[in-house]
Amino acid sequence: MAAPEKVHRPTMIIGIVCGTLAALAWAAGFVVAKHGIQVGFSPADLAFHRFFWSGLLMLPLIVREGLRNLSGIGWGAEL
Amino acid sequence: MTILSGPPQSLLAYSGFILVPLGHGTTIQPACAALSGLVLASLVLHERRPFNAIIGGAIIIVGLLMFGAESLATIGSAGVGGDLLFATAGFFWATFGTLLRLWNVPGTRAVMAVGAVSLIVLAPIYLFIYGVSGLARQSLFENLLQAVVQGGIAGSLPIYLFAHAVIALGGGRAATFPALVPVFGAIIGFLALGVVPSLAQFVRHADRAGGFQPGPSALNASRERGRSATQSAPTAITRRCFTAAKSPASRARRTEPATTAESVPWHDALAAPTYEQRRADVRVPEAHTHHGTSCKISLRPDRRPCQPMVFGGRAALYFPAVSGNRFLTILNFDMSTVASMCMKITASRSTFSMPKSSMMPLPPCSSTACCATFMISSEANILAMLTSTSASGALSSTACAARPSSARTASMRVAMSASRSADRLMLDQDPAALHVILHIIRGRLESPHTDAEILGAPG
Repeated sequence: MAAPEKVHRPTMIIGIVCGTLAALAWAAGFVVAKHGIQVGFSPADLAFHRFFWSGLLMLPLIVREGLRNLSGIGWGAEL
Repeated sequence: MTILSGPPQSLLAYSGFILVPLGHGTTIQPACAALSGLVLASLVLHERRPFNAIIGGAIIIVGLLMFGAESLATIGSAGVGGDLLFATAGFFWATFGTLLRLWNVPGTRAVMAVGAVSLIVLAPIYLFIYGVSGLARQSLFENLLQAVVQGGIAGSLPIYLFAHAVIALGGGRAATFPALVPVFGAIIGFLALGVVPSLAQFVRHADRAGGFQPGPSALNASRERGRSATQSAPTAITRRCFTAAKSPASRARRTEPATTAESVPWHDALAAPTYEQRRADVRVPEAHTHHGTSCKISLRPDRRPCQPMVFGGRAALYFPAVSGNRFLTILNFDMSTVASMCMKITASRSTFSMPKSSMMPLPPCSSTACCATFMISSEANILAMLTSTSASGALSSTACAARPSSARTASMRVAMSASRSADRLMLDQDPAALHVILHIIRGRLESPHTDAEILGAPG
């Protein structure tokens, strides 16, 4: 058996904070999605919000990487 | 990939929220993703999984079966349909992660490409079919809320944060956090969606507060005990029922026979009333049962005492899927995506902000000063050295190291991958990055464990 992990305390605190915030963000996404359905958004509306804005943020990166072949992945595989 | 991780996958999950309560979505989807990842890794990637992962998968199966039985008993076929939507969404996500590993596609590129395809291809399709009427019907605040939370907070931010947690704590410890999502989801749901019963109410109405409708047995029992029986004082939940009963829509619904959850076929999922609407339909007769009016459904309008066992039963319902997910977390299969994305983002940021010559020289690898250097050196610096190879080998080596699955298997994979990177580095004459890679190899072979030992304190 490997020895128990020893993590530097500040590193551990940072990791715990980051992990907790990540879980909170994921949970918030579920809850806000549920709220969106409740207030009358359709699933397509929520999907639009989910990917349109993040796509706008990522578009400069993908353009820099290469839009024609989607930075090497290819449109066929990507779809 | 866009189908498996993009808008189509999200459509499945969002459609599930129409039919089933919040807790089903926050639990079933991650659990199914983890379970599917386990199966696909064995069938497609021919990977041997550790024993605890198999135990976790078995527990998840038990939990999912319990969810299915609960949905069938309480919500009916529509509930099972909602659960299946979440399960399918989880399966899609697992398939996406498996394809990433099968095709050896860096997660960063895949995520960016999904965003680009969604923006360039699918967004115009959405606007052509639906226009902006659906968005315009809602207030600016609601649209901003969805844009910020869905597009930002719940989109890329948790991936970045979780990757940092993996680097800081190691994959095994970081696997705890995705398992907390159902718990946090329940808490935020209670707070944000207004269902905040007091402790006594929570215990008394644990099954309702838990987001479930009463099962047929409860309904029949309440009918047998008499619909016009003396009713307990209205709780916060039933007070909302009175409010709902005063609305024109509720009055209109009240003139019609109450819709039973069991009568809604699951294939009419999108056309069927939402879960909340059906709950409101159920609640309205409850609020008027003391007048002796005819109603088809009554939500236990009796004076049943507090039922801690009911609460325990509901908690037990969530326990297997959540605890199983602890062993087999959602990102078990997708850790490479998360880690490589974090590496790439951090490295690209440091590439712009920090010249390579400013990197701190490393002492001999075998010395404890090497670990100390890792401690005092910035994380971006280390990652920049790792990714300075600009080779998928280095990225995949770190990614594999971050995986929470079998540490020994991962360590061997890391060693092999890092060896390839080291060969490349030999040619590139990059001593700093080579030093890091060799450190990883040594650390993995001597003590196969998590990244925490590499980036953490010296042993």
